[in-house]
Amino acid sequence: VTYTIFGRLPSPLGHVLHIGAGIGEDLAGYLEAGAHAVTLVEPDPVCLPQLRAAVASHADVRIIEAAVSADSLDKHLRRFNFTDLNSLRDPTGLRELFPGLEGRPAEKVRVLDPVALVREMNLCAEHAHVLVLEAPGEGMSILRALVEAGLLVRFSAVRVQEGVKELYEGAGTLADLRGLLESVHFSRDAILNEGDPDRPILTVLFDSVAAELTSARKDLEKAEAARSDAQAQVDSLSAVLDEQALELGALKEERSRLRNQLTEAEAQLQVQCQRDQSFREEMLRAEAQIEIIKDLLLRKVEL
Amino acid sequence: VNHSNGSLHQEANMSDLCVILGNGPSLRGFDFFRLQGVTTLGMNAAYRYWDEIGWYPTYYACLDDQLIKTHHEQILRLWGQGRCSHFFVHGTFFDHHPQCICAAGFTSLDQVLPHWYHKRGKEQGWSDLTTAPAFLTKDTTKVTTGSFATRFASYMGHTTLALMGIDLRYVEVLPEAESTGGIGLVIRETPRINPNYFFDGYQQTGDRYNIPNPKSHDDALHIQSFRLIKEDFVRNGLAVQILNVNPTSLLEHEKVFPLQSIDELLTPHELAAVVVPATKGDIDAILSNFEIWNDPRYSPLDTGETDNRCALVFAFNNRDAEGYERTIREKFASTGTRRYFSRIVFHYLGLDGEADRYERSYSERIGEQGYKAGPNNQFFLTISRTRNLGRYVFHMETDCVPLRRGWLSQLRRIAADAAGFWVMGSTYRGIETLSPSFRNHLNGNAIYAVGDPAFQEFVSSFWEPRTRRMVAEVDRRLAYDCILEKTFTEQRDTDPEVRQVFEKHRGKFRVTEYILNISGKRDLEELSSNYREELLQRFPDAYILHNRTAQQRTAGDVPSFPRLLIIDMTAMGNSSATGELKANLLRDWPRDRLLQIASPGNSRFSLVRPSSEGDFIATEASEAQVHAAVAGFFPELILYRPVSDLAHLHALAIQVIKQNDSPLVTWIMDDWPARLHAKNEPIFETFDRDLRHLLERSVLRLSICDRMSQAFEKRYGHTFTAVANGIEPSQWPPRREHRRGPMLVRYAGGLATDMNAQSVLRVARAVEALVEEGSDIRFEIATQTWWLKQGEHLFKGLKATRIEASRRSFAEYAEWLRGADVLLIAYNFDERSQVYVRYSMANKLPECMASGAALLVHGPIDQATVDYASRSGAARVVDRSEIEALKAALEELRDPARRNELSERAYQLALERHSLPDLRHRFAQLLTGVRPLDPNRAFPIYLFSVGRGVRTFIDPATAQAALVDDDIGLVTYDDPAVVLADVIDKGGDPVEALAEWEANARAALALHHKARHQLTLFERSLLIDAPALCLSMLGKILSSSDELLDMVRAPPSAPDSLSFAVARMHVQSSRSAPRLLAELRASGRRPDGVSTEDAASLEVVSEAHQVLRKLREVMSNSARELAAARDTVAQAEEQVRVQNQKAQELQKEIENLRIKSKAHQAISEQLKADIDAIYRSRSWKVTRPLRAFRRVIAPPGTATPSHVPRPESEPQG
Repeated sequence: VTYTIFGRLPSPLGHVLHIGAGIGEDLAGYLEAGAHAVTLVEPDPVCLPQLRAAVASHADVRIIEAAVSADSLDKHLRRFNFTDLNSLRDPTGLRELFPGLEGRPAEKVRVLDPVALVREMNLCAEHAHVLVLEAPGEGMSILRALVEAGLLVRFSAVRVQEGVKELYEGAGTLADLRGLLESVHFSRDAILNEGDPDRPILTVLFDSVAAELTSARKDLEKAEAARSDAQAQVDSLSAVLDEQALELGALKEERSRLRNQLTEAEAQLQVQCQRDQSFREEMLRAEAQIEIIKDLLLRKVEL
Repeated sequence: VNHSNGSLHQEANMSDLCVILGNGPSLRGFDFFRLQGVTTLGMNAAYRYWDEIGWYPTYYACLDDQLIKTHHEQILRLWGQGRCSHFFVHGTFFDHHPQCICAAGFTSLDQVLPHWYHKRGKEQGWSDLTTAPAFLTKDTTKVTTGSFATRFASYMGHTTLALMGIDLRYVEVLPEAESTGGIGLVIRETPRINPNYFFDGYQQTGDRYNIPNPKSHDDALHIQSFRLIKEDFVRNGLAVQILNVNPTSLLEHEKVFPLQSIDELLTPHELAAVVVPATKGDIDAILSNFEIWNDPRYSPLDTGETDNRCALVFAFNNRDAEGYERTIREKFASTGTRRYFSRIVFHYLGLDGEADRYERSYSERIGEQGYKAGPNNQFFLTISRTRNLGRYVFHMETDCVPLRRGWLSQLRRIAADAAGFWVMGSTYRGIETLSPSFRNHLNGNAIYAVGDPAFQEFVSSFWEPRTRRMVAEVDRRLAYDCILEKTFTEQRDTDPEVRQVFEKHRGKFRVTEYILNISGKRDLEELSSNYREELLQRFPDAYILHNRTAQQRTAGDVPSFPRLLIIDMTAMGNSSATGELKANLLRDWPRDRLLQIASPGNSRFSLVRPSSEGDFIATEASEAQVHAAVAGFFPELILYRPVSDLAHLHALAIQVIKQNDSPLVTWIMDDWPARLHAKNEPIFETFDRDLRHLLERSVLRLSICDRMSQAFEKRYGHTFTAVANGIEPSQWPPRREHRRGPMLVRYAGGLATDMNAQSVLRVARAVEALVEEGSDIRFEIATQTWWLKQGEHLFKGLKATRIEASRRSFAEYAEWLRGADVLLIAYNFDERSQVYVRYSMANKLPECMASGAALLVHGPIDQATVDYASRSGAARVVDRSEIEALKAALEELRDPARRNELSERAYQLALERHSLPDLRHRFAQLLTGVRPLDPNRAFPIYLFSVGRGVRTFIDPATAQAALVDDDIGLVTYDDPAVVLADVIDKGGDPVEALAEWEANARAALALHHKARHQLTLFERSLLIDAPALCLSMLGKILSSSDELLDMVRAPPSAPDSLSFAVARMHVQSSRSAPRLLAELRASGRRPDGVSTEDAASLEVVSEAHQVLRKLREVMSNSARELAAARDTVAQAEEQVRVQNQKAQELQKEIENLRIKSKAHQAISEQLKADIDAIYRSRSWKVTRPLRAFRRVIAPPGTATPSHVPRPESEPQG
């Protein structure tokens, strides 16, 4: 299943991070698919010798002998006669599926924080990286931590195996995992391998188009909100403007009226002035006449 | 006689061809002068026509004693005039003309028939030809002029025989003839129109002749005589291809020989040969290439064509490889490669010494011919030697491998279409960087115009001399294929001849993508794993890849076809639908790996084998002969089609299947069990029991369609795979468009009342009604004679319907279909019919779809064919039994646009889904993919439900298909170490056993995953140590079934502890097995307190380690001691040898000394005698005083030599 998805990666295969690599059965497939680097993480001391042997001749393959969990405080690996089911968590629904399951002594193991692990890998942007999770019970904690740290998008594909029902304490189900993955756009070319229908393997590609679409939608929403705010402001300003315009109109009218009044007044004034002038002139003339008359009178008086 | 007008290459092409000219009416109007340049054989009274037109055949035959009576003088005349080069005549001819007995140019029938040879021929002095492969026959009574003339042509060395004018459809007794007693007839009046011959004057008044097909041969002497040729030639190992050129001949109707048009036959083929340049070191590659070419994926031809007059020529450097010629020829025949080529030819080019040298290390000293002298010389000699084969040959070294099927067909097309070139080949397409001076050279694996004299002239006057000069003077590493470009590139500007040649002929060298030269060192080392897909994507027109690594990988990847024994009543290749289906699907199966047991009926059996021509020959055989043939065949896979019709065949099949451990494949093609159930329940029960047993035993079950698969899966609880018939795309070119006008509806097939008669009749009535309403429609039915007799009355009075019994050849049948506007497929609606045909897929459906006619399908929708047609959208389906519905459909189909729409869709579907090359490939994949299941190593699965009891399976897929909801089941497995220990004890291969265990474990886990709640996984090995606990636990789980518990009650045998320890280590070293075992154990059940990975196991391993270590030490010490002892013995032996040698030497010395001693003694005695004689002589006595005196005067110390004996008588002085 993993190999079939390699062909559909958006860019050349880069790094494969396999958490729960077992004895390294998948390594050859990764190398054949052209992986530039492979990191195999495995805590089970039973598997490690074979894993080391498998890796011995490959320089680009690294083994990290540890478990990975984001929230497990317990560093004891619960071990079983079927090592694929080993987990940091207590089994809750395993016995129903595996009646012959036998416990083995638990092993104290080093537990890595997935965020630190992925950060340290320095995944480049040019290649497509793949995350394989075969860490029974820890899928949800690892994925959630990577999502929260914004690191899951560094991977182009995720392969994860988990129970249809919850098989470990607090582990969640495959549907939960799928929901989480879909929420961060790991939703393209999803393949559900039901080789074991009770513990299917989900392989899914990061849907960069959907992610970009969502991002674009968010941007659009923001822009729309901004536009809306601006619109509101515009509307408010428009109202004010309208009011002001009305006021302006009124003022203009007033001004016009006043102007008219003024004009009228000026005209009247002018008429008045003219009349005054003519009065004055009349007066002057009258005064002159008076003077004349006065003179005349004086003369007459004198006379 | 007639060779003068043939061109050189035509003659060469035709040299192995002989056209046998019968005198049947199909030859009317044929222009015999078209046969000039071809060897021909004419017969009987046809000389009357030849005399008229002035043309005569090469050979003449008349083997009928009655005809001899009439024509002997004219035969003598023909001989006397030298009209024909050889005459093959009945023995009675020589009664008339005894002067011709043993004369040059005559062969007598008395030479070839044992009875007549001993009675007459031998006495006359004829040579004995009774055991010649061409004449040796198992039935000496089937003598006809036509068949024995054919044998004669083979005897004369021709390997391709074309039968022309051999119609075999006689009017046995003409009205103008009367009996002369027995089977003899005489013509009393020259027939005005003679229906039996190609010219009316063939028989004239007074002519005597025999009834063509006398009663004593079941009225079928002629056809039997030709069938017999086919069988005899195969039996006698004659690699002769016989073709029939007359499509109307009974030979074609009975499919005796492949059909070939005379035009095709007389047209010289452009591609004359595939030439393989090779050395002794290439033998393995040659043989593996035959295997590759017989893989349907890489088949040379892309159609079902069997005729190919392209030769396969091997050009070996010298006769070192001659010892392998037989091996190559045998492989050529046994793999069936023979059917792709007209013949196989070997050339040994006589190269040796420096001329044959091919030195890959350039540090070696080399002569003037260079490091590639061998390949260069081989190339030029091959070009010259193959000049007469024909126009083009393709040089294909042994490291060339097909990228896909049809490579030879494509080669022929290229040669036919792209005339005018001299060399067409590949430039280098690999990842290395070539020298600029030959970067674009055409690789030697190319098509060469060897038949073009101008090319030969170019090779001999320019290419070859320039190659020699360049190698000698410029670079001794150069090969012939690089030299041309290097010469043109480097010398064009300075050498006028080079410039002239370049400018004149540059267009004659062409690049093709047909072959890809990717053969650099790095290309070989770094060839991608999916190179084939990558290359075909890059070069869509590529067919051949020149790359040794690819050739080797392909050779390793070719599936080995198992020796397939088919048991089926209808013989492969007979005219029945099931016979044709098998023949079509198995055409590519290697000849030596295919055998069929068939039955012609009535307690008879026949053995059917493929012939060299690509068809099949059935030989009747007794039951004992069948068993002997099967025993000699060693079947690796048995394919049985059980039917209830022939109880004797079924009984034999059951017996053969029981006697052979081979995997079984069953094939059911129609629902005969349902029909039998309805007809005869007691017999049904017997067959049903057998059938269920067979299906259970089968590793693969085949049906005829998906509907049948689904129904049978429900009924029998096993998965089925549908395999049905198809069409050869090349036989069905696209048809012209439908046009407006009268509409012709046709139906071909049976008229069984419990299959289709009523529905066909309903269509006829609908047509009748439409015609009465004014529509222009006609309905034609072509059926078999027996159906005509049964069904003719149904159609009486229907004016628009015509019904006939037809015996068309396939070509005629195809043409008849293509002539229809609408083709009908019909099934009855009644329940009785449906019981039988519900799941049948009409064999003719693909042909109807490919015909270009619109398809009208009338029947109930749950009938498989109707359902398929309906879903496909490629047919107008009427699934109601009402005339009005049919009328509406017919009205709809009167629209040519609608017919075009339906026929185009049907045509596309026929090509996509029913193409025989694809189906053949898939069928081969299905059968080659079958692997025997070893019940001892499988994981037995037991299913139980009340009412069904316990059912046992060894195939998880089958178990899963059979699992129903109320089943509970046990899936059992063993610790792989236990299995391997057993294998090791028995001397088996533990690696193979472990791989098988892993595959079984995966399958068992997959099954368990699907049904955890129903199935219990249980490790049987636990029973060894804790049987009681295990059974108690299982008893609780399987409380409802003691029967189920019984299945696992017996524990497996405990393994030998040492073998177990070794096996355990083997398992631990595997990457997959421990994990699979862990999952099985975690998923399975075991009693409390019994651990699967307990300390005991670890102790066993530890103990085993210790034991092994000790054993190793002991063995190591023993080996050391043994080596020391061997050394001591060797030293002692050496000492003894040395001593012996010394002793021998001493002995020899002693002998020599003795001999010398004797010789000395003899000499000594002789000397003594001589001395005595001297002493006794007178002169000695006389000289005595003298000697005395000498002693006196001799100086002191001088004495007589001591070694000279003195005579005893003489006193010492």
